[in-house]
Amino acid sequence: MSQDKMDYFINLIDDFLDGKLNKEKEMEIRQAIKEDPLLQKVVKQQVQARANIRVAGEAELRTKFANSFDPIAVQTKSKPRLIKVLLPILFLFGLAILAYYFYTKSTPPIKRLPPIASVEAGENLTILATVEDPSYDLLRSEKDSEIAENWQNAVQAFIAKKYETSLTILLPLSNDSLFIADHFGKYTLMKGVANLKLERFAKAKENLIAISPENPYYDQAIWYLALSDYYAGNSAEAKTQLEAIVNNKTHYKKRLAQKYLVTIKK
Amino acid sequence: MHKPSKYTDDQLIAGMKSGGKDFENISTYMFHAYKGFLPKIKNKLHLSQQQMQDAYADSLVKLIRHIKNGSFRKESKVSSYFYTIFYNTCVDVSRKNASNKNILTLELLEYDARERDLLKMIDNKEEAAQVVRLIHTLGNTCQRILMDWGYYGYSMDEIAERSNLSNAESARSMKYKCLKKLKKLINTKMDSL
Repeated sequence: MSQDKMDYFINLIDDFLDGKLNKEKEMEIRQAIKEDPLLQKVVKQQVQARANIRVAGEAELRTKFANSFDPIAVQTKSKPRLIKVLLPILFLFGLAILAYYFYTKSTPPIKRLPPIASVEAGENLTILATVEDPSYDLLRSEKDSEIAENWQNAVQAFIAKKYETSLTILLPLSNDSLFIADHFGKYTLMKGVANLKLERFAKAKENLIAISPENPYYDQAIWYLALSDYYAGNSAEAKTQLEAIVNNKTHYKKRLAQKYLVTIKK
Repeated sequence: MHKPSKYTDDQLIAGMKSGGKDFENISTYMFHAYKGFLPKIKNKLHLSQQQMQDAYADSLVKLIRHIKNGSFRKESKVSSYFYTIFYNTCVDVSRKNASNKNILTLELLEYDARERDLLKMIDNKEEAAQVVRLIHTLGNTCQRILMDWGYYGYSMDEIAERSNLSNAESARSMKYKCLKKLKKLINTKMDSL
């Protein structure tokens, strides 16, 4: 076979390897290979050389692809888990703070007046002014919004020891039968104590005696009734009232009543 | 690696076969275009990220080979065809639990279908054998010229430019000499076996 013929077949082999050869030319190669042992050797060399080139090219391209990926990030183990746990907790905590903030902003706390100072310690029992007023907690109501504004104002004046003002404010409430029916005990107690402090003892007794034993303010009424007699100079009546208190094991002024009794006996 | 615009399947195939700059652009395009398969198959087979990336690179090389030598017959979309190659490669890796990184799979070292066809026309002895690799014993210039011609499909003008040769004729002459040298090495090796 001539060199030209050999080169011709080598080109056909290259085209075959590149998938560019048609069926007719492929048959021509097959026939030539069968007939020429030298061509068989040349084809074998060419295939092996081209396989070498292809494998080297594929290896190079494969390396290029492999190097084109971004570096694989090294993952840490513990921190993401900690964050996973902490984040929801912090989020819920934040929500709770926000909820508390808006709740307290929209519903301001019920304004409580300062407690009335106790005069029991080192008290001078002969001075009416030292007598402790009823606790504001007794006078206020959880249903403040339902209570007449006048009542609120009367309580404020009473706490400020402006008893006359308090009685003046309470006056129109006496016409509110519904209010009186619901708040008779505290309403009458406040009037009685105010009159006591204003040394209107008869008026005070009239108010306080109206509070029946079934009324929750009865213990208060009995106490201030006794004091009304005491400061009015009605020692006998005061003694009777105070002894009843001392003999009542559950009365909240039992100890102080005992002290008053001592002064009466003297 | 620059991410190029989209190609149709016909453009991909034509560009791969024509070689040269088109081959370079399209291979880059394919690298980015099919990355979406990585997490999909990773979730199925639970391979490491490194194993997935190695399998992806191998699979792209196989796809390019099949397109170049005509094994891909357009019976499916190129992307679907690639998915099949990629999935099968990953299954192979999973079975072998391959721990070696950046090492070519055996398939990439074997004769391809076209080469085997020609070898069968001569005799059957080489059918299953791996390619006896000798090209790396040539100098870098010869390797570059032979790969640019025989694998990437650059024209002689482009090869001359890439290898700092004076012109296409010089490139053609160099390619002839390098190929002859390679064949001589192969002959010597084969005779010694």
